Order: sequence, then structure tokens, then C-alpha cells
Amino acid sequence: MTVHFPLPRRVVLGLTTVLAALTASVAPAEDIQPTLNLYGSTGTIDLPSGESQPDGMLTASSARFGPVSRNTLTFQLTPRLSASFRYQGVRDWNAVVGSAFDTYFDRNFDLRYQVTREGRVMPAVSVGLQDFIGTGLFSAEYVAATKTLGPHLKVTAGLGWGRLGTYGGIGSPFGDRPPVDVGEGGQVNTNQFFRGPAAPFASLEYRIDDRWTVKAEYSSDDYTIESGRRRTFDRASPFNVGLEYAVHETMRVGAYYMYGSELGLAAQFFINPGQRPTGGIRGGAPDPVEVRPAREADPEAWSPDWVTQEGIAPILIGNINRRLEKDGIVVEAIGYTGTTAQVRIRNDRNDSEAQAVGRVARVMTAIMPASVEVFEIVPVVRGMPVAKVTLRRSDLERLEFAPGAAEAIRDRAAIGDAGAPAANLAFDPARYPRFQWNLAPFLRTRLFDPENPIRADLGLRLGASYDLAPGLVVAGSVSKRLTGNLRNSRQGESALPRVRTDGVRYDREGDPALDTLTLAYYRRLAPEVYGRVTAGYLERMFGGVSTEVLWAPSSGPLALGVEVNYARKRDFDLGLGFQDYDVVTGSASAYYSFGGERSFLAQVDVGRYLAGDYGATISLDRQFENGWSVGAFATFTDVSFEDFGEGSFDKGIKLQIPVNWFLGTPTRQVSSAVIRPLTRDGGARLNVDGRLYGTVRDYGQQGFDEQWGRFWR
Amino acid sequence: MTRRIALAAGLALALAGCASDGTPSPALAVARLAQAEVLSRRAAPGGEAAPAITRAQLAQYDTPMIMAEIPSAGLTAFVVPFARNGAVETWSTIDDRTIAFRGGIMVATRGFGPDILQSDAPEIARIASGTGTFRRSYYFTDGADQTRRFEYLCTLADRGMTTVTVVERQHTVRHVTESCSGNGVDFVNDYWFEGGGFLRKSRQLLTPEWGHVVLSRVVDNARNIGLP
Repeated sequence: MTVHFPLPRRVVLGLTTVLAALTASVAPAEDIQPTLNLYGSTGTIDLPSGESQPDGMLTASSARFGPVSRNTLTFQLTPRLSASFRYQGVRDWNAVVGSAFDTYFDRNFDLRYQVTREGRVMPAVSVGLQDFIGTGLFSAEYVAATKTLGPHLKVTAGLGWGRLGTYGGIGSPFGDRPPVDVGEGGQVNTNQFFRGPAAPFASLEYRIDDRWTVKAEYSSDDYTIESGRRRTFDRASPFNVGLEYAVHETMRVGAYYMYGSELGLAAQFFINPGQRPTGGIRGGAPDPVEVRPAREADPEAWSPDWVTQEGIAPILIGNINRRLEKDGIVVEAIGYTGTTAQVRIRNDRNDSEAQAVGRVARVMTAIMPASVEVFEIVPVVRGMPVAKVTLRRSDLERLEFAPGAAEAIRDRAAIGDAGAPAANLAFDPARYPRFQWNLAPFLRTRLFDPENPIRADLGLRLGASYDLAPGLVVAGSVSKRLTGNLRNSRQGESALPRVRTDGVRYDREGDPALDTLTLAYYRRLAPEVYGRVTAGYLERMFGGVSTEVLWAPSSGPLALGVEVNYARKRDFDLGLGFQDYDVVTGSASAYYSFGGERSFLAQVDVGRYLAGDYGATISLDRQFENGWSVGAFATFTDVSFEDFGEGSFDKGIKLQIPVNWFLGTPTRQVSSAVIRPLTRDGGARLNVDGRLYGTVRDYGQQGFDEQWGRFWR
Repeated sequence: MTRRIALAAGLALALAGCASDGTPSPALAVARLAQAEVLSRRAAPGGEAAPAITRAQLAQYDTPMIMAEIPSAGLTAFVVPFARNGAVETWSTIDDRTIAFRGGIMVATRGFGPDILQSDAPEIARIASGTGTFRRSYYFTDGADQTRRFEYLCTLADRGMTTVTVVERQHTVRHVTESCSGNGVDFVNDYWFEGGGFLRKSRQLLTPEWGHVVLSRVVDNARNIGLP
């Protein structure tokens, strides 16, 4: 897992901190929430069921019985499709058969699709592929059907292949199961699917009350390797029983008696990213709209003569900023005619662009002379004007308390490209240059090392940035490790230039570290076209120059970008020096958002990677209106699976969690995490702060509309 | 593993960061949040809370003032008139919470957390009449920042004359109830009118989860809210 730490506005927590905090959250009430099995999939004890979790649900589970331990993250990607990532360990692996490891660790990916929803007669039926990539040691395929009988009882019957076809088989309906050609792992074992012996399984789930549930099942998994060949435990019976207790809507714990010989324990966590547990965002009330006097009552107030007065712009900026200070919004510039006023705003705190615009508009009703009827609010990010929201003042006055005011004002607002600056746009000289700093703890982790699955360093990082002018920023950060065990990691073999696998040497030798030191320039190049140049120490392992151009229209689902970088490998001591390795790397990227109510972002990057390999990265993220995003990516390059090494190709899971999701108060801070089952040198990308798509995305029409409900908050 | 996670989280919290612009680190903010919660719970021990204010203290104010209590949050706030937009008056606390009234009927709140975004409420005169049935709707924002509209069917009833005590002072009032149901929720708003149409006290729904706000007019003035 790498934790990115962009400066200056985003403070990043370790994923672990976030998960700990999430357990205090509330999930939406479902009639009978489907529970998880010890594999962390929806199911009974060791077996899957036909059910699925509510759409968008993210579940985490930690389970163990006998020598087996499983930690699983499962995401309900659509109402019917779910995906799991699991880290599984089996202790005493070398008890009777020799092995380099006492505990065998493996990573699993599962996919599962619900074919039918439960009806009055029809059971819920799901088809699943378990551990369908890689070594296949835990592979199984299944069809499972679940029917609810009354308010308390659920029954499941299913047919399993692979592992789930190893006990009480009924023959091989679709032919023999060919052996897995493991190679370097990471490959989809399509030729095994639903092949070999099939065996039936069944289970019962009885809900005693809201808290307690009893489960029982007949398993078709013989644990041939664990119990038979390696004698890690004694599988004495096909029957499992268990008792589960719901501590909270978001947490269940269970105890089980497994296979007639072992005690099992599990904890299940249910997180609903789509709904902030604190409900709507808190925060101070906005200034109310100030209504202008009627023109007939006070014609003088409506005179546009103020426009010609000397020195009025700084007064207006000052008055607006005084009222916006508590919201962390700053007006950087103002331009006006007698009837139209344009302000350029920087919104440093509020995660909702709509809410920020709504607050600026209300303050403008109090400050701008009555003759100004049109408000143009232009959000500025990293010095670039990225959108323009045009509002009529009379609409604000009229709709403030109207039922359905959010929708009504949206119908009357125009959102588009920032357009040309207002004719006499005057900047507030007090805004630049601007110096900021922060000091915060960091947690850097490395997961899935077979000797120690969780390694981490904890330390302090001091960051600073200096905005010389709009869009021109010098930024840097230094860090000092306080404690941890990252330096004990081992460095794997690699057939490629070591662009990522020697990360441990940086951990070992680079302390204290100059993490980053860059000069960056951002600029809106043309309507809906943005550019970036970043030079210096770009990330912990590479320095150089990174350039990017992005076309991102305000409306429409597609954006296109090109990035070209020259990167040189930094010295292990993370000082100012460089090593001999350098590379020209970059990509052409397409971003496409789709899905309407359920919003997805698909991204394809084609280009050259850090090890000089050519290829493409595809990624898919489910994006929630409140800023959560859950996704996965995979990179295929011209490096052979053999040269890539274990895992065959680069892949992983991405999570972005808005910090306000559990705080409930406005903040733009986002905690992001990338979890890679393995870090290798192929398909590696440069980590540069301030990539353009993520910078401007929130300011397109979709970005505003997703949180438009907060305009009047 | 769970213990390790908890430990890491604890360390991260202990090492709360700081920054030049005063942005609290998430860790600090969490701590403050928890503290606020504890304090609010302590303030509402379940039984009858101590009176928040005395008549003597109120005597020094000459602006109209309403005491707003949210029992479920253990919160007491005082609001004074702040802005007017047509028939809607926005009253505000000193700490950025506002309640907007249309003739004494709460039509919007801000800054409480659980807030009414807008609401479609009947005129006060209609409520004062104590009879009739109508639809009323509330707009809230949910945890996905989406606007949710809830509609209820409400019936008025005149419960006759009674007395209410507002900060040591007894008032003879007429009690009107507004019984609403819809979306699987039932709730009752209470209104206590003094001398015809002056709303002395009321109990009005904030959100179905948080329940009611109890609004007591504690300082009167010429700008009597509630008079049409």
C-alpha cells in the first residue's frame, strides 16, 4: 500500500486509521441484512449463499479457524456484481511436507454475480468464481440458491466445483479439471471453470432476534491439501455450526465449530460509502440572502454609477472575504460592470463546490450594489479558473426559502467553462505570494510480505508550499521516521530495471528524507484545456520534469490527456543526488464517466512506464456523490509475465475516502490508498502530485450536480 | 491484526498534526467531535434539565428572543431576528445557527447538523384556526448530499385552553396540535397560542431522526413574530 501525500490541502491518513474510524458508522437498515462467511463473501459459515449485499456496500472481514486465517475486502460494485480481495494464510504448512514457509500466504480475487433476485417463489441465485486468478490453491466455482422462509429462516443449497467439489461429489458434469499452469501467477484460470468433480452443499441461517443468529451447514470442501496432505488440521466432519452476534448494524462477530475439530472466530464490518453516517454535512449557517430594496422605493441604491468610482474593487473584495473567512473561501479577484459581477474564488475547505458557490452568492447579495443582477462565480484551483457558475440575483432572492429551492436554482443557473476573464478583473494583491506549511504524522505500510504481512513505518512529515503567483507553486516536504519495521523487508529479485522493487533501500537509507521538492506551474491553456509542468524531486524514488495537458469539457462524459515525463532515479539516501538510471515515460489517457445514478469512471492510459516498458493501464472506479471512490486497476506491458515475476502483471485496488465522511463537517481532505498484492517493476508509473484530471474533475457539471443539494446549505 | 490496526490508529490520533492555515488535522477534529458529543450527553442526563436561563438574565435584553431546545441533542440555543426575505424571518444564534420562520412556523434551519433545508408549511393563521387537513413537505439532505423530500398528511386539532410556563412566567394559551403521518412516520407538532394568534411556545419537527425543536418566545417586543 502506498499512501500519497499531496500538499498542501490534503492530509492523508493511513487506511488503517480510517477503517478503525469507520466501524463507528451506521449502515442503512435492510430487512434482513445478508451476512458474511469466513471467506468474507456473502454466505453462511464456510460456504457462499445466493444473496448479495446492498448496492455499493463495502465489507471487511477477518476470520480464522484452526490453522486458516482470512482477511477479506468485498465490494458490491453493482446491485448484482461483487468483487473480493482476500489475503489468506495457512499455518503449519511445513508440518509434514517440506516448505520454505511455516505459514503459507496467498492472495485471492473473487467475482460473483447474482443471477436472480429473491421473489415470492424464486430463490436468490448467485454464481461465483473464488480465487480465480493465480495459483488456484483456494479456487472454487459455485452456484448457490437462497430462499427466505418467514422472518427468521434462510436456507441455501448449492453446487460447487474445485475446492467446493472435493467432498461428497456427484461426478464431473462438464469434464475433467485440468491442472493449473501457475507460471508466475496472476493469470485467469478460465480452463478450470466448472470443470472436475461437482458436489452439493447446503446451509441454514436462523435469526433468533435482531442480535443473535445461528448458522449451520454441510460443506462440500474436503480440505484435501490442508487436512489431508499437509495435516495442518483434522477435518473430521462435513458439518459446521456457528453463532453470530450483531454488535451494531455495521459490525458482527461470530464463533463457530468447524469440521468437527476446530474453533473458528470472525469479525465482519459493513460500510456503506454512499451514505455519510453523520447524514448531511454539519457546519455553520450561511449568511442569509439580503434582498435589495424595491427600485421604486430606493432608486439611488440601484444606480450603476458606483462602477466609475476609484478603488472600489479592493473594498468589495475585502468586504466579501470578511464574510467568507469562516467558510475557508477566498475571493482572489473581482471584475464588474454595472449589472454583472465576476468573482474568482478559491475554496480550500468545503468539499462541495455547489455549497461553496451557494455561500459566495449569498454573501454577494449583501455586498454588491443593487444594480448588479448577474453573479459569475469562477472557482480557481491551483491558479487555474476551472468553471463558471452564472446566477441571477433575483433568483437567489426569490428562491431562498422556496420548497425545492436547490432544483429550482439549478434550473436557472448556467455552469460551464470559465471563459474569458471579466473586462476589468482586479486581483487582490494581498493573496500572492502565499506561504503555507503543515506538520502531520505519516504511516507508510508495505503489505503481504510473506514473512510479515503488515509492515509499517510511522513518522512525522513537514510540508510547505509557496505560491509565487496564481498557478506557480514551490512545494516540498521532508520526513523523519520515528518507529517501524519497513527496513526489515526483503528485496525481491527482478529481471527489470529496479524502479520500484528496491523501495526498501529507500526506506532503509533515506531517513531523514527529502520526500519532494518541486516547482510547478498550472495554467488554463484554452477553453476546457489545462496544462501542468512540474520539475524537481517529484517523488521519493524519482526526480525530473513532468508535463501534462488535459482536455476536460465541463459537460459530457469524456476527457483526454497527455503526459510526458523525464524521470531520473534518486539516490537511496533521499538527499539531492541522483543515480544513473533515467527514462522518458508518459501516457495518453482517456477518462470516461458513465452509469447515471451509479457513477463509474473508466480510465485507460497507454504509454511508456518507468522501467521503459510499453503498455496500457485500465482502471474502473465506482464513484459516490459524497466523494468516496472504490476501484481497481491492472497494467499490461510488453514485459513478459516471466520477466515481470510473481503476479505476472501490475494490479491493485484503489480507495478514496473523504475525511468528512466520518467527521461530518466540511473539509476537502481525502484519504487515499492503493493496495497492490505485489509491487514489481513492470507497469510502474511516476507518482506526481497535482495530476490534472483529479484537480479539475469536481468542477465539471457532473461534479457540481452530484452535490448540488448543498447549494443552500 | 485488529489490535495492530487499533494501535496504529491510536498513534496517528496521538500525533495530531497542525498547519499554518489553522486547518485542524483530521485526528484533532475527531477528538473535538467526540468531546462535543460527551459534553452534549452530559448536559442531557435524561431527566428534566436545569433551566437554561432565568427571567432576571433575560431582563437585560430588549430584542425579541426565542429559546430553541433540541432535547435529542441536549442542545439549547437562543435566537434573535437577523434577516428578512419577504414573509420569512431568519433568526440567528451568536454561533452561526439559524432558524427561519414564516409567521412563527419553522420553515428552514441551518447549522444544527440535522437541518430542514426547506419546508412547505401552512400559514400560521391556518394553524391557529385549529381545524383542517393538509399536506406539508420537508426537504432534507442525506448522507449522499442528495435532496430528499418527505410529504406528510397533517390534521389540526384544537385542544382547548391550558397554561404553559416559559422561564418562570405562566401564560394562558390555546393548544393546537398538528398530527402528521407519511413515509411510515407519525409525528405531532404542538402550538400554544396566547391572546389569539401570538405563538408563545411550539414544538416543531426538525427531522424524523432527531425529533422536535421546542421553541419558546422568551423576550417579547413590538416585532411580535406570529402576528400576521
